[in-house]
Amino acid sequence: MSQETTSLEGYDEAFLRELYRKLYLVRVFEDTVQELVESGELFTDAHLMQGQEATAVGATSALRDGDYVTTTHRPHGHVLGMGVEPRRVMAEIGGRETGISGGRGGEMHMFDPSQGIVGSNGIVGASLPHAAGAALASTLDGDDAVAVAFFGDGASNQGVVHETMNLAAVWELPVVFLVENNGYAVTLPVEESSGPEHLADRAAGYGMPGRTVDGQDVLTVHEAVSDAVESARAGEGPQLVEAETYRYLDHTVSLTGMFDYRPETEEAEWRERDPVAGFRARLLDAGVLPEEAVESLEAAVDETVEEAVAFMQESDHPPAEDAPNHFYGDEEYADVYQPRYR
Amino acid sequence: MSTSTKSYIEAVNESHRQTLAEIDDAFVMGEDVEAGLTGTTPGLVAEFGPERVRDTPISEPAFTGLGVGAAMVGKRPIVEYQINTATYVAMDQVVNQAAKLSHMSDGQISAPLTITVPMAGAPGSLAGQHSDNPYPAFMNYGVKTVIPTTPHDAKGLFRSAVEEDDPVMVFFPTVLQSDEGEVPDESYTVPLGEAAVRREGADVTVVAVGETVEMALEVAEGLADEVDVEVVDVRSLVPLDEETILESVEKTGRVIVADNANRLCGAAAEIAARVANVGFWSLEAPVKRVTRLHTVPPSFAPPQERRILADADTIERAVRDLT
Repeated sequence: MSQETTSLEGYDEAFLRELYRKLYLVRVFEDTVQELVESGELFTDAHLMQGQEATAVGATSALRDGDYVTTTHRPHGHVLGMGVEPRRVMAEIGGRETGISGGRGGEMHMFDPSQGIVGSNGIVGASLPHAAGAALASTLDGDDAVAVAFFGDGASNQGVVHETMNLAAVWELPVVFLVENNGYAVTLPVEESSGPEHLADRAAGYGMPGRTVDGQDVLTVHEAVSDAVESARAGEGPQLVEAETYRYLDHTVSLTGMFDYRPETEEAEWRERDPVAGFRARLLDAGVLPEEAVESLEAAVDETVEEAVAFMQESDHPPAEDAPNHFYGDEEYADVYQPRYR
Repeated sequence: MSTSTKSYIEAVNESHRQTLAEIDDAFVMGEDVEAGLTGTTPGLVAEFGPERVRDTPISEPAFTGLGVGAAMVGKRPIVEYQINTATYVAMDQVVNQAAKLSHMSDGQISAPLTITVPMAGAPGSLAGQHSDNPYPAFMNYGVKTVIPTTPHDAKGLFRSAVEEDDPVMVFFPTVLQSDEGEVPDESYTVPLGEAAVRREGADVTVVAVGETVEMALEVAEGLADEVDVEVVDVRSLVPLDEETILESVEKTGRVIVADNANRLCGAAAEIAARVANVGFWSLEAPVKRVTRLHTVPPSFAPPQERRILADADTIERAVRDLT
C-alpha cells in the first residue's frame, strides 16, 4: 500500500475546501465530545474516531443524493460526512429529543434515512446486510443507488460479514464494503485476529475486486471509494475497499489508558501523518487556500460545534412517558402501552 | 366471494402468488424457494422470475439482514426459513435489528419484513435440532408473531403479515399442512391480534396455540356428553387478543392453555400469567398448561417423540382434572 498522497490537481477549490472543512469538523466535534465525556457533562461514554477522519470524509464525499450508508458503533464522522447537522448529532450523543434518533439511540445508533443513513449499529458487522439489502432494493427498483457499508477490522471476522459479501457477489449488488482497519478490535491487534496480510485480500475469496489504500489521505480514500462506487453503479457488482487508518484514542473514552496493548511509539508515528493537519498543510503549501481563509473556516466550524453543544444542553431528554412510542411502525397495536405493573 | 377447497399449504402458496401479483414491493427469498421445496412457493419463479423469487445460499443471518435492509428502504421482503431452528441462526437480525429499528430510530424507519417458518414444530422424527416451535423466544422481544391453524387463516394472516409495517413472523405448523378447508379465491386479510372462538362451551376453556387447536376440538367433541369445552384459537401471539381469552375465562372459570412449544417461559406461560392476573376473580380452578415436556427436545424414536410433545390425550386428562 502506497503512502504517497494523492495529487490535488484537477480538484476545484470549493471541493477541497469542503473536504477540509469536514475533516476539521469531525476532529473538533470528536475532541469536544471527548471533553464532555471527561468532564462528566455527558452521562455517556463515547466511541470516537480522531485519527480516522480522512476515511470517513473521503468515503462519504464519494456519494451522491439517493445513495445509502450503513455505519458502525463509531459513526459520528460518517454521519457528519453525510451532511447531517452537527447539532442534531451532538443532541443525540446527549440523549436529547432533538437528536438524530430522538435520543433513543445515543452515540452509537444514528438514523437519518432522509440523508441516506439507514443506520449505525452497536452490533459489529450487523449492518452489512442492511447495506446489501438497500442495494438489492435499488436493483429491484431499477435505479442506480449505491450503498456503502462501513465496518471495522473487528467486524470483519463476524459470520454475517462473510455471508453478506458472498451473497452480494452472487447477486452482483451495487454495494461497497469499506473496512476501516484501525489496527485494533478494542485491544486485539488485527494481526492476531485475521490471517491475510491485508483484509482486502479476502475479496478474491468472494469473487469481487478488493484493494487496500492509505486511509490517512482524504483524496486517496475519495478516489478509491469513488472508483468503487462508480463500478458498483455501473453494474459491476460489489467492491471491497480497505482503508488503513488509526484511532488515536482507546476503544472508548472511558477506557483511556487502561490497557497496554499498543507499542509505545505507535500513536506518535501515526500522528505524523495526521489526516487533518496533513491535508491543511497541503492546501496551504499548494496555495489552494490562503492561511486567513483556512483560519476563518476553522473559526466558523468551532462556532458551529460550540452551538451544537449549547443546542444539546438546552434540549430536553424525550419525556419518560413516550418511552414505548414507535416500538411498532403500526401504532394501532397497543400491546406495549401497558401499565408499569399489573 | 367464490371459494375453493384447498389444503393448508395450497392456501399458503396461493397467498404468496396473489401477494406477489398485487404488491409490487413484495419479493420472496430463502433456501430452495425457486424449487418450492417447502410448498409455499411452487410455480412462483415461473410466474414472477428469479428477481422476485430468490434462492439464497444457506446464510440465514445474511439473507435476513438483506431483508431488513431492503425493508428499511421501502420493500416488503418475505424471508423463508426452511428449517424451524434456522430462526436461532438469524436471531440477531430479527430481534436485535429488525424488531428494534422503529423504536431506536424514533419512528423514522420500520422494517416491513415477513419471516415465514413453513415447517414449524414436530412430529416427523426430525430429532432435536429440526423440531422446535421457537416463537416464544420472539414473543419475548415483542416481535409480531402469528400461527394460523386453518387454510383460511393461513392465507389471510400471511397476507396481513406482508402488509404490516413491522417485522412479522408467521409459523405454519408442519402437521397442519395437508388439512383441507374452504378458502376464498380472492386475496383477503385476517387481522393480527384477533383470536377465534372455534367452539363455544360453558364448563372449561382450552386456549390453544397452533396444532393444539385441532387436538382440543377433538377432545371437546369426544367429551361432549360429559363436559362443555370452549376452544379459543389464539392465532396471533403478538399482539395477543387478551380480550377474547378473558371473556371466555369469565364464562367458564376454568382454563387450560395448550401449546406445542416449550413450557419454560413459553407462549402458554404468558397466556396463563395474563389469565391469572387479569382474570383471577373469574377463576374457579388453577390455570393449567399442556405443552411439550419441560423442556426436553423431541427424540428421533417415535415413542419418545410422542411422549415429549403435547397431545390430545394430555389435553383430555387436563380437562377431566379441571372439571
